[in-house]
Amino acid sequence: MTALAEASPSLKRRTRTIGGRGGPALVVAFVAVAVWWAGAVVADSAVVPTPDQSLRSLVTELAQPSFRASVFDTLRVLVQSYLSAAVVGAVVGALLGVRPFWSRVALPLAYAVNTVPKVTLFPIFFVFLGLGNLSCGSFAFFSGVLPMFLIAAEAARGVPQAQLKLAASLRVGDLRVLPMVVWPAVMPAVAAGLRLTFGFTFLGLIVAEMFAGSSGLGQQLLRNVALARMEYIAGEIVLIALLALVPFLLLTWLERRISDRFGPRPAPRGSRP
Amino acid sequence: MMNTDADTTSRPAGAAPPGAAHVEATGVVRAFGPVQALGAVDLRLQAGEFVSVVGPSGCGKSTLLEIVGGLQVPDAGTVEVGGEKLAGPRERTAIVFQDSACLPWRTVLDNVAFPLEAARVPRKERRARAQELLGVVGLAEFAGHHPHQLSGGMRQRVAIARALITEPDLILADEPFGALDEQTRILMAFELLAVVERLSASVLFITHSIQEAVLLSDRVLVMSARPGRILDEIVLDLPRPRAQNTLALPEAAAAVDRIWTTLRTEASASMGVPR
Repeated sequence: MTALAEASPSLKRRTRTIGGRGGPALVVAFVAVAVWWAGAVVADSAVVPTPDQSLRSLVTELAQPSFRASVFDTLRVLVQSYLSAAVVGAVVGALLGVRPFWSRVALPLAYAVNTVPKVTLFPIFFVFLGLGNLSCGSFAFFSGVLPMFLIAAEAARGVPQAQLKLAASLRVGDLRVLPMVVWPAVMPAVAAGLRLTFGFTFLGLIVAEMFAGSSGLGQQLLRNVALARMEYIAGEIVLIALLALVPFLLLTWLERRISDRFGPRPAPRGSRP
Repeated sequence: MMNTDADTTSRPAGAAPPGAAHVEATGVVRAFGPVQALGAVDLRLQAGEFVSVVGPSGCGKSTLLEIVGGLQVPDAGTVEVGGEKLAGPRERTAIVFQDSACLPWRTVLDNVAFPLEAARVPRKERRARAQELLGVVGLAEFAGHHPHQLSGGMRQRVAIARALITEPDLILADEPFGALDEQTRILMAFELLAVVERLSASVLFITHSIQEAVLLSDRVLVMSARPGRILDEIVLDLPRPRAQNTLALPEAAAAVDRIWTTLRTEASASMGVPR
């Protein structure tokens, strides 16, 4: 207590921040594990493994080189497809969004395609690209690029007319208006899009690997489903959740930083003169 | 507002001498699809003159301003600024919008310096100039703030400083104080008048406020309901510098009355109320 009281203001602030932002999430995670554990004990069934059984199975699987290769395959394809979906979606969306004619042409089409459950389109990827990482990665890219495109295009359409007119009145050309006005204006939306796109891309990849993966976590998951090894399935779900959690936290942090830097914010209390 | 001989000799090349036509718009017509916004408008603005345009909502005032600013191309008619036919936005025309159009990710200093950045002026030079102008509009101590940390009136002062940084010879103001409260509006109007007089710039000022137009202007143009045409022109021979009590002068009161009489009929028409 004394030590805490004597701690530097920055340490106290940091402690408060961790407690304030991460505290509730940690409590929910702890409660979820406790409920899972209690449920498994009460059910006492082979189809509901306990958390410790699941973790032991996961450790066993991670000891196998083929499983580790699958994990690395998934991560490699995920990084490639996510980065390409984020960059292509954001750039093409923003470029198109600032052009009213092309927005009117492309956006209804993109929305129409986006309403189709993407998994129903996977056979097309499978037929043209075959089994393996190429079709899985392409489908993951497709799952992520469309939401990113729509978010960036809508954000670019929403750039205030007054800002664009200001740039035009200063004779800022089409190429320079992008870095000077459009990019900074769409950055907060794109940052939120990066976080959402990650989830869609990862989902698309796991689903694709279940259908057409020659390796990867999706394929491993399906193998364990076929063998009805519930504790292994649960262990892989935990692994997938952990793999998703780290980028999610990083992207959430990035989104907050970008929103603070570029987004319109309400005035802090007492800051307005 | 009056220029001395010394002022005239120091006037930048290409700028019109005082009294010469600085802006000359002839037969300007503009339609948006089936909607006729402007119907054959003639407008003449002399160098150093402050001209206000009042008219009912939707009568094409802002369209006229954007045409003079080179942001829109008229369907018919010609616009000349500084003796040259207008072919797009000019370097020495500055526009102040109703919304301050401050860029939220930039500091106040960087917002003011934005036009010089667009003109590729070196960073050190443009920041020094922006800092100087922030002093002129009384915001020197807020240079490092962001727009959301300022009040509406302060943001408009940022917009005015930004407009002045290129030392324009023509300022186009589109209801720049429309969103401000009455007291701030009056103070801002006098502030604008002071800096404009220092620059000897011509001003085309769009406003909904008749009193504001009379208080600030050398001439007031009254526009009709859509399609906008110039219905009346009121020349104001009121003493300068203007002050709040200028509006109490009999000539000012008569001008307000004359503008309102013309405008009331047009405003009723634009609202669909029988004349």
